[in-house]
Amino acid sequence: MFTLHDFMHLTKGIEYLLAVCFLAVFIAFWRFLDKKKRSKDSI
Amino acid sequence: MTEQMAQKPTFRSWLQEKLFLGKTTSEYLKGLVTPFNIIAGLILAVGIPVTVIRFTQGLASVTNLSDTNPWGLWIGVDVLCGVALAAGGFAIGTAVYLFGLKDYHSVVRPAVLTGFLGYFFVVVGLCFDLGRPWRLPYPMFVSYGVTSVMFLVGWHVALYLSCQFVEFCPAISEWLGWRNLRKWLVRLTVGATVFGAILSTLHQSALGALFLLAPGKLHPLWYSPFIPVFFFISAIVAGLSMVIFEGMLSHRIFSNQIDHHHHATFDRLTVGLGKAAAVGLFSYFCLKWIGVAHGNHWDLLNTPLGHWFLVEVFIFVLLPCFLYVWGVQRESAGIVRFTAILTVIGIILNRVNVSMVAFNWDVVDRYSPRWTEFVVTITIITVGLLTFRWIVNRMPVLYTHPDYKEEY
Amino acid sequence: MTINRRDFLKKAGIATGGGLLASPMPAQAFEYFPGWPERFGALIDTTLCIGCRSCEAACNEVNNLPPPKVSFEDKSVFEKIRRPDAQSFTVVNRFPNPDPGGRPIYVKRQCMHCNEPACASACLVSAFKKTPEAAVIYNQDLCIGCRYCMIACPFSIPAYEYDNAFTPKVRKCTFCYDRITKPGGLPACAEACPVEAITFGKRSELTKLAWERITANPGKYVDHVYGEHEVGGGSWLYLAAVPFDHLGFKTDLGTTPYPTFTRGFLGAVPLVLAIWPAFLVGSYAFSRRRERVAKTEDTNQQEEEASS
Repeated sequence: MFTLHDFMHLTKGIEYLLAVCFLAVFIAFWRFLDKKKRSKDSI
Repeated sequence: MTEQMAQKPTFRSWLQEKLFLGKTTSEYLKGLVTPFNIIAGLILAVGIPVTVIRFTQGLASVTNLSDTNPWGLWIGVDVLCGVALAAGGFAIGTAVYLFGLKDYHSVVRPAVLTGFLGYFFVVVGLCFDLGRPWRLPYPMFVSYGVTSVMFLVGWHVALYLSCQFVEFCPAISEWLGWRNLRKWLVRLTVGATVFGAILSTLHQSALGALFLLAPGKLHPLWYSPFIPVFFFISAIVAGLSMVIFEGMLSHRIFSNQIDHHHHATFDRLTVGLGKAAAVGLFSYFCLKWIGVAHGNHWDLLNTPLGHWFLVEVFIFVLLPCFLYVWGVQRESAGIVRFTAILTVIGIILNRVNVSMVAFNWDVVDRYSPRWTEFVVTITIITVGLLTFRWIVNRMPVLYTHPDYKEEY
Repeated sequence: MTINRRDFLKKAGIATGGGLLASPMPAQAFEYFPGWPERFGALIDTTLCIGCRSCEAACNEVNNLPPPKVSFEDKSVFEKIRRPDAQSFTVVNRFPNPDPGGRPIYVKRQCMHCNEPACASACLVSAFKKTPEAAVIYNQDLCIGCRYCMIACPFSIPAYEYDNAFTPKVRKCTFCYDRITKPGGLPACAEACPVEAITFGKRSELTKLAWERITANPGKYVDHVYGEHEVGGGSWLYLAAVPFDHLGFKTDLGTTPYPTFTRGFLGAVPLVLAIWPAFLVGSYAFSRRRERVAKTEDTNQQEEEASS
């Protein structure tokens, strides 16, 4: 990696992919966490 | 017999009802001759030829853009102001669906429609400015310039437009009577609102962040590492003020659509929006001074551009803040509405300052827009207004569709 | 010799520990980017330039640019300060010599082929590339014409074909990339210069050469090599006898490479993508809970009133 630009090109690509994956996983995570319990004291 | 006829409308009569509001073609066309429409027609009569020239002869034929000044009115106003003023969609959507302010429900749809059409016509304006607009999808599908803030702007505007469309689709499906689609779309609303709020935060601030790459060209009183935050906060304020402004106009122009209950509560909602905008403006005012302090540019305040900065910050940020406060204290929707107009002008002024007045401020070859650039901007705004009116006249935006009243 | 288990484990432990401790990659958080090691450069000695504009003519020919409106022999162009445009990748400007009786000073300007190009950082489709040979080259097959590169460039070099309706391109010096990548190849301007005001070679050697000239000729040159460190340094270097700001050079650009200016904001973007969902969905959940609790309290209250 000789230039900051090339370094950023690589790292930003990975960062964005991670963030997008997180968003997708977050949806599943939230839906799992927020499943309706039969008891009344759910948040 | 009438019942039987009513149960089987032909496709033609359905089309007539949806498109021509139930009138016959000749009735409808006659009804189109109104003063506003005549003015709009004249604007289009100039705008369409200019558009043709722009796309057949190149940018030089209708703009004063140059190598030293690559961005002009279309970026400064059509794109920067357009996006800021369309922020109401995400602001109100977030307030109602995520923060639970249910009493603002009646302003969600007009705000989302303003947001959707706002962004859509920003993209139209952008296509005028781009050298090769047919390559607009390139950063999404062909080559990813991930080190660029512009890359983010492109992606987020595209995704956000889709988001706003999804948020508006329930209204379209109510108009067309597609119940099942509507039910499914409503379930997407919270997710679309969350996604929309994330995207809005990012692209509103990204539009400001574009200028981070121009430290030598943007005047120090406007250039700051905090410029993304300035753009984001002012966009929220702009969006709220546009919702107030648009609501004021809609309630007058489309008053026949709005039931008595909505008219009565609207003033109270207006004042509430003014309260939120006041808080935003107050924070924004403070942030601007933190920006000056951060660069230690106090000495620049006593220069011509410094004076202009003071005008922008005191007359168009602090003054509307005080006016909003006064309007809230007096519970006067009238004061709040006037202030909304002042605020909108202030946000436009800020974007124009950042992109054209304070940009390249010390260069010999200064830019000023050609009359044809104004023509295009005005034409796009006119088509936007016509589209807004067309939709509001047909779809349940300003009122609750009687078939779905129970859900609200 | 037989090895027992204890000895074996001892030796294996030492070998592993030694291997881990002696790892060749030092762990550090600060970053250093030295640039492509074998990259070329060009040194312009403005004290040698005679303003003949042969470089402009050669550039025009090699790049198949349209014939100029004013011929390359015409000296009247020096009356105005010019900048590179869509038909001229390089221009020579004339500046008065503060030394009375001294010859006017001629300065050739073109793309600086920066080590960390602002244009490459700005481009949303990666149409600009910093090559290992140093040339910053443009790919017209990707460009969408947003012109952000023109906003970003601190030297305002990229020019645009505004009068081209269907295939407008960004235009700038290519460092004769096709020529310098061939063995012994020179940029056309360097080859054409009759007084060898332009020296082409490895950048690392040219910086040495520039400073050698400065130290060998005390008082002749300003004690600065322009382009060596400005905005992170570039491949085109300049020597001058008068302060650079008298020769149309911006001297307040600083040494920060341009990609650094947006790095902070770009870093915050994935953070927002990761944090906002939690905050927003949390707000939604809280407001939904508030409603539910309020409703239960309402129904409780109604039941109480009904039973009393």
